[in-house]
Amino acid sequence: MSKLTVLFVLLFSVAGAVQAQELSPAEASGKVIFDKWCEPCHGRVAGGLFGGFGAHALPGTSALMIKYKGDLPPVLEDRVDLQPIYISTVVRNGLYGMPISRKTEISDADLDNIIAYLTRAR
Amino acid sequence: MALPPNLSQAEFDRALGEFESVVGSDWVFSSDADVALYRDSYSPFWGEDEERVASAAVAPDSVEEVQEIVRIANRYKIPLYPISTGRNLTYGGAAPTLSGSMVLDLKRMNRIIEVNDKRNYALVEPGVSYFDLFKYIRENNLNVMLDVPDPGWGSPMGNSLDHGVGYTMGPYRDHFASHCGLEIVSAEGELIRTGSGAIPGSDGWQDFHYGVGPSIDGLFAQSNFGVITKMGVKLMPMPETYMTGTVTVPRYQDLQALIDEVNYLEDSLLVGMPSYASPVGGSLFDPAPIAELMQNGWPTVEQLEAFVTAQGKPAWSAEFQLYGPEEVVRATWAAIQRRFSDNIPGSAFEDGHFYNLPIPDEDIPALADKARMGIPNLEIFHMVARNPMNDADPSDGHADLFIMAPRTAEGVHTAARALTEAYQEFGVQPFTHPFTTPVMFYSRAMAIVLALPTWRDPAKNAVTRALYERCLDKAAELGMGTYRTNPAFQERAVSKYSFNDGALLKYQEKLKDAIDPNGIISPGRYGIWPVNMRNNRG
Repeated sequence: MSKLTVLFVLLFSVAGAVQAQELSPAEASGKVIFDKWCEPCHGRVAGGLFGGFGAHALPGTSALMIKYKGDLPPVLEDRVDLQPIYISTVVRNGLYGMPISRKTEISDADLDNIIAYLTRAR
Repeated sequence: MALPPNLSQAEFDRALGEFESVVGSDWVFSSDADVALYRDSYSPFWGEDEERVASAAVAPDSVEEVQEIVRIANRYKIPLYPISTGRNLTYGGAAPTLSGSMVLDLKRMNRIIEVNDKRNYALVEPGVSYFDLFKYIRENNLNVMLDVPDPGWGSPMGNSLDHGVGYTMGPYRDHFASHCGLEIVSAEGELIRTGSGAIPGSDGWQDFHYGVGPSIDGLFAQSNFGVITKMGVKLMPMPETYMTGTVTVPRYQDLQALIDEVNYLEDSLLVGMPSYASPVGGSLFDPAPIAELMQNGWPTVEQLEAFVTAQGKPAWSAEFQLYGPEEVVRATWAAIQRRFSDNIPGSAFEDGHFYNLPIPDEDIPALADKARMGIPNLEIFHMVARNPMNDADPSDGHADLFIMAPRTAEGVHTAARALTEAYQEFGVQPFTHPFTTPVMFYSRAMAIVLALPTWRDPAKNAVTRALYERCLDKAAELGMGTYRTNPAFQERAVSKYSFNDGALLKYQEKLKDAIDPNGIISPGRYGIWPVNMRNNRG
């Protein structure tokens, strides 16, 4: 491993550790649950999106890109305007093609943690 | 919410108390808000009286709890509707076939009991998802590859039991065909294991799934004869490499020769799922050339050949997926090219992707066609979510319809034409046209695939339902049926399989009455009603 590579690894490790420290236990738990249940549709698209459609598009991210047309970020983790009631309503009622999530999948406590993560102070 | 049939609220409350004594009060869901979570998000009857809604749900954590629940349900004659992950979207999701049924939600039973990468199988519970199983295989560095359907949140068990399909080699992508051993809680609460699993102390349950005597496994797919609590899944050893290559053939009338070659390669187990396409067929986003071609009705063969010539592109293509050691896949691709060159004049070839497997974690996100390499994801939903085609009025879901056609060009063309005519009758832009190509989810049959939008708007859903049913009727006139459908259409789909005055369904219902005398397991599923509810038909 070159010195440069070692430097990059250290920098990114430190950055990751700082980010993890900044999350409260509820937010950190919310991040884990978000990655399991939300990220496969609402994650960051590798290589970017091309008009919101195409190979390896993620359904939630591409749909929000088309919906908001640049007025809001299409990636949920980049949003700073999400309200708890909106998140819980969408998770429990679905929206357009997004289906309802049951409590055997995302419990009320899990949902609270997702909300804590997405609405954390930044 | 609905009550179970023929049960008073007081009796139901007593039953709920008994269910709570088995699983705990946290895992019996009976409030309106909780029961609403079991609605079918893509229901073609959303908000109408005919929408299939549950009375309650119960979520056990063990086989013993499932047995107790089944015994209680028998005492009260409460219909149970078992779901595994409940993500069978477009085919009903978590909602029951009969309103008032109690959903038996098996999501909490999510144990991966074994993954064996020497004998190449997994043994899983119902609530395990493809995502879960993939993660387990990667974290434990196991040398096997999954065959996954498009929705990675689905259950290997549930998907197999619903005749679900994937993308890799034929024997693996037919998921029920690749199951190996079932554990069943019968409709009366008895525990049964099939095949070698019935031998006490057997270590070969997933190796030899027949045992001796009649195999009953097939009775539990798309049916209502019991509750499956464990299933073996045959897995492909992780191939060393994955490679693709595409063949094109020039003329409209070359489709039969192309299909003949593909059938040869498929049935010789030389290739994974072939992907047919038509370079002149345009796309969902560019339907103009085809619309112009069809403005005076279905074109003649001469007009179609002239259209192909004018477009300056080949009429048809097939992309092949090859799995195995590099020297083998490269030799296979060379053999494919030789066979096509010998048999179809004007065949042309294009090399595709080549990957060493397994794909490193960091390379997965940017990978197109993840499912073809057994990597679960949800990306295909972007085609039915809000997209450039439906931005003005996005749908709330979709109802998939796969018409199963024989593996011939005539089968493809006649199905495409009939479905086009059905859409035209309703004034809806057809999904199909003369260059429609089949999807080979099953290696033994061709699927002509439609996705009709569903809505939370009864007026729009009425059109979708009528068109869906018209497509089923038109296909049946050609002797073709579907392989899987939403509960809203199951009776109609099953009615097409009517040989000898419906002898098949009559036989299934005789079995139902013998196996499930109180008719408590999923009444009405795929048209099978127990004797005490047979007047529900229709």
